[in-house]
Order: sequence, then structure tokens, then C-alpha cells
Amino acid sequence: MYGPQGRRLTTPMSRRGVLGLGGGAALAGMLAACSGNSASGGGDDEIGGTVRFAWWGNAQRQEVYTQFAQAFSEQEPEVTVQVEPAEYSAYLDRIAVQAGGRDLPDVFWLPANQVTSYAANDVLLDVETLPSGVLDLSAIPADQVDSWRIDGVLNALVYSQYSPAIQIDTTALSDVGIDGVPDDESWDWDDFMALAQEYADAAGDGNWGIATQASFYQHAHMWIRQQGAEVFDQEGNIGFDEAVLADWYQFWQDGIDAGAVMPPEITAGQTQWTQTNHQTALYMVQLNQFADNAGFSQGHDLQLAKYPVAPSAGEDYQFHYYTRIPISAVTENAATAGAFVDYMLNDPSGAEMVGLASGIPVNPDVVDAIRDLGDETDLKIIEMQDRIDQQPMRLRPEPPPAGADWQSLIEDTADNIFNGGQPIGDAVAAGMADLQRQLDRG
Amino acid sequence: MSITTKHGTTSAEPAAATPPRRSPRRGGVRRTRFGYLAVFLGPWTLGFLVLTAGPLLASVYLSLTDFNLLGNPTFIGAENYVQMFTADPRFFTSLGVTAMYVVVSVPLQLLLALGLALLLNQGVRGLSYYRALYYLPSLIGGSVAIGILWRTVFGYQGSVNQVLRLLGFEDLPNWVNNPTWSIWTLIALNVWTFGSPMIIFLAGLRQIPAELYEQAQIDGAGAVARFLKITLPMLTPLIFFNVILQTINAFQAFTPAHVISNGTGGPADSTMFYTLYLYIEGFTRYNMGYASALGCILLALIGILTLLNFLFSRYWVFYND
Repeated sequence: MYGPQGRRLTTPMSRRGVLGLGGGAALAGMLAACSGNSASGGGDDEIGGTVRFAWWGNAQRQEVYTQFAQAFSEQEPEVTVQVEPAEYSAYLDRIAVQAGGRDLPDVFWLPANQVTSYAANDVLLDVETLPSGVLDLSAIPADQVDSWRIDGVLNALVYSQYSPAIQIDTTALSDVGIDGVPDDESWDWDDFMALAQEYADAAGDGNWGIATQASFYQHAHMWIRQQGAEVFDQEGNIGFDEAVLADWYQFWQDGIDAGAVMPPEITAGQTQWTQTNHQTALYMVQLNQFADNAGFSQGHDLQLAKYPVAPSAGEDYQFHYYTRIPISAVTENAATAGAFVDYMLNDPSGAEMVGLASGIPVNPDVVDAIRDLGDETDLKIIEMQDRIDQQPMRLRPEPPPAGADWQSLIEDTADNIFNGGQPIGDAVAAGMADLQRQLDRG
Repeated sequence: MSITTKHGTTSAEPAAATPPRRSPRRGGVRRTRFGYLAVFLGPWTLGFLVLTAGPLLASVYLSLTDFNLLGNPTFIGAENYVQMFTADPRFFTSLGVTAMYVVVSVPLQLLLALGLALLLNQGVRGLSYYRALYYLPSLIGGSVAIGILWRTVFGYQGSVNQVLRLLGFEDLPNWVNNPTWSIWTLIALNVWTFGSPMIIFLAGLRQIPAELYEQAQIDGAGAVARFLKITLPMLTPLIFFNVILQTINAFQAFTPAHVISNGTGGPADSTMFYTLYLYIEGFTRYNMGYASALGCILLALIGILTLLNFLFSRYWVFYND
């Protein structure tokens, strides 16, 4: 640019300058991309800065927990909650990668099957090292809190718990002339399949009592415990024999052969209630899923029943599954993360904002607050859990690190049997051999 | 040096050579050129080192370790490779499924691509629209959305079965959930993405000199003879290129198998692509060391096949130079 008398007022940028500017921008971009990611701000004992929170769930659960998490920022204005939800399978993939990259969120949900793997590799923070007063667990019975320890360390608190149950579409049953829910304190597996058969016969072609749920590991777990066994014993060895698991698949095969159970070639792996509800009346449900199912059922009345019981089952077969909520060991702001976990566990606003979206809260005060809100579906869930909790429950060991993927045993074996046509005995033997190989690998 | 004239011979010392004037800028020109070279190649070099070579070397190292993503890798030597070849039947299953997918889908895809390229090369009106239309599946075929759509279309109540039922067929399977047919739905999906090689063939057809065809016609060659003696030989470099490219792509196929099988490789491992098995081992079972070993084997396999293709290309690829 030239001024009066032809004097140059600005110097045009040289090639060196352009290249240097571009290189500087690239370097800045690289540094930004590689920059730190965990909680920032706040000191060791101060509440402040950013806390990353990750959880899994469908769109509705993502929405309610996002609101609940953001409400923490309203209580603690110096804290910013960065939410990182995902659908379940995508969530598992993501935390695996984040764990490998030492980039786990500050606070995150962890499936019960994974907890020993994470704990054994010291990626979870011992919450007893948090600054005093940050985390209050006094509302939860002390023995219950103690039962959450992994190898004596309290590094994976439980956020919610739930048990398996049976879901019955009473509207569908009554539509075909079947009235009343069976007595769930005394029915057995034959009674259960008889009900499924009755519905299939009454409803006609294209309808079945229940979809094939042989690949649902939580319910296979119930079957195993009713036979007096356990998936893993205290030493981390496989706790059941092939015959127990073979009987599980035989139960479903018999139902398919009789026409009571929707065959796998029709379900094609889509066996959730939201996918089969218009063709079936029964469903093996986890109590944390019941609210979603009830909301999806187009006005049909869904009831809960306790599991049918094998004749040889003892009283203590019932169990809880946990959703754990650990704090990452690499968090840069443990106090803030601890305060957020305290909020998740204890804040009464969770009763209204979240309710039973992920199961029964471990804090009895929050459960009472949910009860007081009087939602019919929530009351059904709480009542069923209360009934289940009245039974004794023998210990359910968490899977050992090498056995975290034991659910694949149930899923792959079911796939090989019902889709691959493999004999049940052969498929079970191969599946358990594969699981043992994983355990031997350590 | 001596000079002989009519007056005699004299020695004429050449004038003292003036030392060549050294350009003061020669070294600077070299440095400048090297600077430009570094600047323009730098981003690619950096990307190659950081995003390709670095991770590759890390993967090779991890393949020799027991690494569960959560802790630190523990060196175990070749144990992962020993287990792979002696105690993992699923490794061979996944290799077999992938090999079948490659051997069947790549030739079918290229045949379809060549056929359509030949048709489009006939001077079709609206060629650009057809070209874009046929290229579209190549863009979206590997997407999750198409995988979900494919699973629905080939499902028990999907469009395919609905049409077949209208035509009177009964007792139809769930194509994606049947261990015999599920792999064929994936093969069909790969064949459907023929647009990319088709574009390349079409460009190649346009490059063939017209006078070759004119001369052949004059000599009495029919359409089939012209295709076999002129078109095909002239296209062999592009056929070779497409074979290499599509073979590598097919070996690396992951998304369709993952989506259509819900990440299981089922039913009954019938869609257990090698890459899907690698993914399951690494990110579901947390056996990243073993998964890295699987990755190294895949790299070696693709490398060997590509090398063999290059070695044998001398026997069938015709270069016009």
C-alpha cells in the first residue's frame, strides 16, 4: 500500500512470512489437539473447574442425566460439568480407548463386569483418599458400602442397583382371554413356559409368548444361581459346569419347538421389548429397563412378577446388578469429582429429575423421595425390588479381570446353537473352553 | 601449448585462467530449494511419521506384549503369534470368511463396473448424471446408515422377502440371520459399491485410441474380437489397479459386518470378518496385544498378496510404452 509521494506505508508479507504464519498456525492447532483433557481448574481441595462425566443410555436417559448433571453447576457455579453420554455398546468401546489413552473422564459409569479389570490396573481412584467432607456416604448402610470394595479398596462406588424380573403384558393376555397374573411366589419354569404357550396358541400365527432371550446373560446368570452355582467363584474360576448351561439353552429350544418362543431367525438378534412387544406378551427384564418398556408399550398395562423358580433352587439365588460410578485415578481435580459423585448419590433433586432411569438408587432417602412422588411405574419397580430384597442373597462375586467378557460366552453360544445349528452340548463345551482360555491368559 | 606460424614456432602460454566467478548465490539457491522441499513435503512427512509409521511400529511392538489397554504392556515375545496359529480356531474362521468375501465380491464388483462402463461409453445422453448416480453407492456403501438399511432390507420382513413373497416364494429365510446367506448379503453390499472402479474404467475406455478400433474394423474384427483384442488389453493397467485397490479394501472391510451382525460376527461367525475379529479382541476383550498381532498378520497378508499381484502382472498387464 502506498501513501503520498509513493511511499510504501505497509510492507507486503514475504513468502517467508506467509510460510511462518502457516507453520505457526499448524503448531498451535497441534498443541490444542494434544492439550490436556481432564478436569481443569480448582486446586487439590477446592471445588471448581471442569469435571467430565460419562454414562450410557438411550436418548431419554441421556436427556435426563444431562439436565441432572447441569443442575450441579447451578448448585456449584464455579464448576462446569462436561457431559459425555453414549449408547451402551459405543460407550464401552469409547471408555476402552480412553482407558488406553489414559484419558478417562473424571466421573463415569462402569458396568459391573468390568470393575475388577479397571480396579486391578489402578485406573480407579480410592474414594477414601478424597478430602474430608467431600463425599458423604452416611445415608447408605455401612455394610452395604463395605460390600462394594474391590480387594478391600473403595474405588468403585455403586450408583444404582437392580435385579432381574419377569415383565407381563396383562393387556395382551386379556385381549386373548387370559386373565390374571400367575402367583409369582410359587411358579416354576414349566409354569412360565406354559403361560407363554397359552398366549401363543390363543393369539395365533405371528404371535409368541416370548422372544428368544437365551443370549441374555443376566437371565442366564439367574438360571445358573438357581441351580446352586455361580458364574465365577471367589477365586475367579468358572463356577458352573456345562450341564447347567446346556439346560438353559435346552429350555429355550423346547419352547421354540413347541411354538411358545419366537424363533431366532425371525427376531434376528432384535429381541428387546421395544422390538418384539407387538408380537409377544412376556419378557425377562432388568428392573432398570422396566420404565422404558412401560413407556413404549402404547397404553398396554405391564406388570412385574418375580422369576419362576427351579424346584431345586435354594432361597438365596436372588442378586443385584450394579451400575458403578468410579472416579478416574488420573483426574486432575479429585475434590470436584468427589463432590459431583456426592451430588449424584445424595442430592434429593435426583428423585424428580432422574428417578429410576438407571435402576434403584443406593441412597434410601432418594428412593423414599421417588416413592413420595407417586409415579405408578416407579412404584411398581420399587415394590418389586423390595419384594426381591426380602429374600436372602448370597454373594455375587464380580468377574475376574480375564472373565470380564463372560457375557460373550452366553451370547456366542446361543448364536451357535440357534443360528448355527450346532448341537447344544458341543456349543456349550466350545464356549466354556474359550472362556477358560481367556481366564488362563490372565 | 606451441603455435607454429610462418615465422616459426613459438610457445604460447595460455593466458592465466581466470578463476570461474563463483556465483555468490549458488549455495543460497540450493538452501532455498531445499527449504521449499522441506516446507511442501513437511506436512506429508510429519503425517506419515506421526499417523502411519509411528503407530505401525507401536503396533508391531504391542504385538509382542500382553496389553489390556488399562495397564502397561508386558513383553511376552511371540506368544500371541503362537496362540494365533495353534490355539485360536476363530482366527482361521475369520480368515476363511474374509477370504471368501474377497475372492467372490471383488471379481463380481469389477465385472459389474466394467460392464456398466462399457455401456456408458456408448455415448449415452445424460452420462454425467448416470455417472454420479452409479458412483453414489461407493460414497455411502461403507456407512453405518447403509448397514442398518441393509439389515432391514434383508430381514425377515424386509423388502427383499416382501417382493419374493409377491412372486410366490414361501419359507424364506432371514437373510442376515442365516449363517448360509448372511455373508452373501455383505458380498452384495460390496458389489453394489461398484461406482468407484466404474469411473476409473470409464476414464480408461476414453483413453483407448479410436484408430485401433477403426483398423480392427477394417480388418474385419467383430465386436467381441475388438473387445478381447483391443479393449481388454488396453484396460489391463486399470484392471490391475482396481484389483489391487479393491482387494485391499475388501480385506479391510469392517463397518458393514459390524453393523449387520450387531458387532458379533454372527450368526455363527458367518460374518466374522478378520477386521471385526481384531476389533472384538482389542476393544471388547481388552486383548490389545493379541489384536496388534492380528493387525500385523493382516498387514503381512495384504503385502504378500499385493506383491504377488505385482509379480504376476508382467504376464497379463499390457503397458502401451
